[in-house]
Amino acid sequence: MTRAERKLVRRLKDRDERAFSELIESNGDRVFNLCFRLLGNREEAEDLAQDVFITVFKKIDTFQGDSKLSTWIYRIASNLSKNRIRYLAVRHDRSKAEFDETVDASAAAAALTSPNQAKSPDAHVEGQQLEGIMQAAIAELEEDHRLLIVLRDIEELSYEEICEITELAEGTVKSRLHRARLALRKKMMSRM
Amino acid sequence: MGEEENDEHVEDSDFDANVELFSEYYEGSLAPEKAKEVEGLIASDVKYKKAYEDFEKTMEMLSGMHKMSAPMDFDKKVEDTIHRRSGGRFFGKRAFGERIPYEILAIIVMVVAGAVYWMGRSSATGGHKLNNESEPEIHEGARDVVPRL
Repeated sequence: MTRAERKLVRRLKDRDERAFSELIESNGDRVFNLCFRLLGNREEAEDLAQDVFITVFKKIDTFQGDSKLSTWIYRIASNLSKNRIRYLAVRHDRSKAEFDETVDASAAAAALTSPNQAKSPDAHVEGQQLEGIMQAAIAELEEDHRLLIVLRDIEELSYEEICEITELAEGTVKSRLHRARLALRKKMMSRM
Repeated sequence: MGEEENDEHVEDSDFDANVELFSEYYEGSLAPEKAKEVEGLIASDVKYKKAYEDFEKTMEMLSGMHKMSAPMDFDKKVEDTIHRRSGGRFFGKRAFGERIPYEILAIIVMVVAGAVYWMGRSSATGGHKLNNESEPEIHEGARDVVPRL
């Protein structure tokens, strides 16, 4: 942990409201992206990301400083995401049709709102659709596989950080991640 | 026939074992000799070439995925939720600025009221003191002016 981070943690423990704002500002996007990639739904992701920060605020006194603050936040996000995935699976809240519709709509909206990009509109829409297909394929993976893919291949975290977040040994992370990648490749190929 | 099946099985398990190395090969963390071995397989065998191309494509798509940003008012929403759930007590340093401390105000009002009452009762000239034992003397000249209670 850096000196600046230690100072921020101390302020957080003192319940300095400005410190909490700084924490959200510096970690909000990453936590939201993680939640979105794990859940595949913007509203759910926002709700979950909020829960992550509320949990961080509640539990900040238990943070010992053994790992980076961002790693600790990711661990909370991962655990809450797993619970939410299970909860949503039980509720059948995420219907495939609804998801595809959202992806198509966002792809079309993105293509319309950014006409000056270097890519042609067709290529852009195609890119968005591929991303949608990838997101849908990720959502079909087992929760552990999903988490490892997102942490390593989307968030680009180091194996050391992933081990701290998941509390798994490096060898286990690597072998599970490889299986996750192969499973994802298979799902992608079947969708294309 | 049995031997052929056995050969196929060995081939499949070899294929799977080599595909197992794709992740490490892709990340460049494979030992140099092993990496060369995998590279040779990909270059010489169509089956490996296709499998690795698919793998590589998947990895490229993953790393090219957009980073999603939190909504504009995300931080405000989180803070509002915390304030709402904690009744304003969470953020210690600004707690009095965020909410009126009714409990403390109530105690202060009670103490002040008690003090005023006590002062009134104990004052020699205080009007709160009831004294029914003796009637105040009225000056002879004022008997017609001051009504008797």
